[in-house]
Amino acid sequence: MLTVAGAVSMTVPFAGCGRGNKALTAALARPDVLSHICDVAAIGQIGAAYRAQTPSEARQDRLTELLLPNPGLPMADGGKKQTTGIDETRLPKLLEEKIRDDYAGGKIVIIKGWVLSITEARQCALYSLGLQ
Amino acid sequence: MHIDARLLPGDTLIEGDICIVGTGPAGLSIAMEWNHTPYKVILLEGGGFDYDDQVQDSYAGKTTGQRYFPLKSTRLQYFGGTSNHWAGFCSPFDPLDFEKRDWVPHSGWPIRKADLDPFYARAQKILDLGPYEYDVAYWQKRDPALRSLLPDNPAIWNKVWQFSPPTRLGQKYGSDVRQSKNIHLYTYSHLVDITANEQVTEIEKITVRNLAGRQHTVKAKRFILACNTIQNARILLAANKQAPRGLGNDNDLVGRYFMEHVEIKSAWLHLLTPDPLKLYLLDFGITKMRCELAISREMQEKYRTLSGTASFFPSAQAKNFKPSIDTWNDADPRKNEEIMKKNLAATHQGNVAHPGAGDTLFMFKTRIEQAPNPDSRVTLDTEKDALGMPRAILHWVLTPLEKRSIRKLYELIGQQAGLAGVGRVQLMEYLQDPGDDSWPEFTSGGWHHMGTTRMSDDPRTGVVDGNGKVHGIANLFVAGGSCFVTAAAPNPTLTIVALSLRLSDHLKRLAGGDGKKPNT
Repeated sequence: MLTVAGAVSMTVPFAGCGRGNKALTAALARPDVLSHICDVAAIGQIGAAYRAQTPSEARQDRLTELLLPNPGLPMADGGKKQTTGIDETRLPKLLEEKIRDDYAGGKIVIIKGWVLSITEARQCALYSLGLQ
Repeated sequence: MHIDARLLPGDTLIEGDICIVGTGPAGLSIAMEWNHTPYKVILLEGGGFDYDDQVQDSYAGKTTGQRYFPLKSTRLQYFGGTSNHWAGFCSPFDPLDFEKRDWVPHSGWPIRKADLDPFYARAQKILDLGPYEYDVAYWQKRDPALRSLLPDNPAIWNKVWQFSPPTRLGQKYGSDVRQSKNIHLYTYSHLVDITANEQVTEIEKITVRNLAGRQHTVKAKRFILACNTIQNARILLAANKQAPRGLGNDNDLVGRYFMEHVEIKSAWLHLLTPDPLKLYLLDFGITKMRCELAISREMQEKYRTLSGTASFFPSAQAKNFKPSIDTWNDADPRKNEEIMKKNLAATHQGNVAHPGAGDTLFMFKTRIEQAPNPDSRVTLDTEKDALGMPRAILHWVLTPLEKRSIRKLYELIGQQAGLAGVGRVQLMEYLQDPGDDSWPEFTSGGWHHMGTTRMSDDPRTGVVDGNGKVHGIANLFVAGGSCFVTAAAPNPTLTIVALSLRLSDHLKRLAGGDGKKPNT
């Protein structure tokens, strides 16, 4: 199981990403609650299972697009949804709200037995891409 | 008063106003309602006052279908019946449990929850429970530490259980029965035959027998079968000399619709912060009430599921958890009880049953009703017991609806746990594939037998009417879990006693009133 410090340091080594994209992806690929419950291997397995179950979301760009809070994602350089210049400090809070909305709206999936919000599952999927 | 039927001269004629066959929770509850009345009550018990393995042997029988406990070990045949080893779990059925649900085949009782409420209240006293209060707010008001895990939500609610000491009814009422002037208890009086009039519309007499070789005849104005779900069916099916398919079985319903509760470990709850979950944990012999998480009426309707509940086991206790189907597998119930006591003691070592400041990992165990199923049934074997009665065969069959309902229960709990931000739920492996209808080896029952003489106002769909009278036979009644139409989520004893008290009141009305014997 990850400690809080361990969860914070969990990174996703995407080759070819710019510095901003890399940090953003790392933030998106960090399922906060699950990281307090599961170890990184389990998160990777959940992510791989989600990708296998949902092939249309198996790519990094697609997962990133789906995970970005929308609309109204705070941008440092404007209001359009993009993967650079995002205020990453607010991202965890926005993801938390998105996850809560998922649970409230019944947007849940069962992956390897875990009852998860679809956002959490996508976060795991994004994380698992970095393990490949 | 008590008479040992082994000591009576052979072929003794025993006569009374009503004859109750069986001294378990159903039979004894009815009998005590008639104490100190002018009516002569004949109360028949197949065994004596203590366990006797030779007597118990008549409960042995084969099982097929879903893996099950040895039949001989699931019910007890001596004074007090199965209350001699029940665990004391009590909770009333919910209103929806009595209603016709179009997604649950063969559901729908001829009575409503409101019809049983006054009898539930009376049953509480018989089983030495607390007040008839099953709203969690009542208990939380008295102990603020009983916090709800999931705040008010439309999907999952806290269903209250109360715990009997557990009351051994034979011990509780033994002295009263012995001293009674109008209750005549005959021990070692095992019913082996029923004789009706020529038209098979009224019972004239029953025949009892014992291992001492004595046989006697009992005549009464009304007869009540209160043996247990398997034995009630067995007796009716075996009484086939005048009705070839058995008494009350013109529509081939006797023995069918056997129901149990599926009891099975199902999922894990991972909490973000440690919690003792005081509202939900059980310490046998100490806890007076607890809650289980139940699926709401709205969700049952929306997702077309059965009624089921989830109970919690702290992680340390879960490690020692052994499915009852793997531990209760001796034909001798006494050996199983010893094993169960040892297992219970093991789970309490190190105070694991009560994780003090709290735990973050809990195992969920399900108790869920099974859908009434005509193929799940009790039939007669060609093999006979020592008294000449054909043995029972139980063919227990589950359907895909049970498994789908368990999965939905934990999906909903997981959803609410996520929404409340308390943690996450993980289903066990056997529940993970929604297309898999199979059951794992550790699937257990709850020793809860129901449904083989189901209740309906229509003889085509039920063996007994809404009062428990066998259709087509004026003076034959059935009491107990065999009359249940659906099984609901709760353990059945409280409802068995409530239903029996209701039958008793009905019989008193038929007899001419409460406590006053009519002149005619």
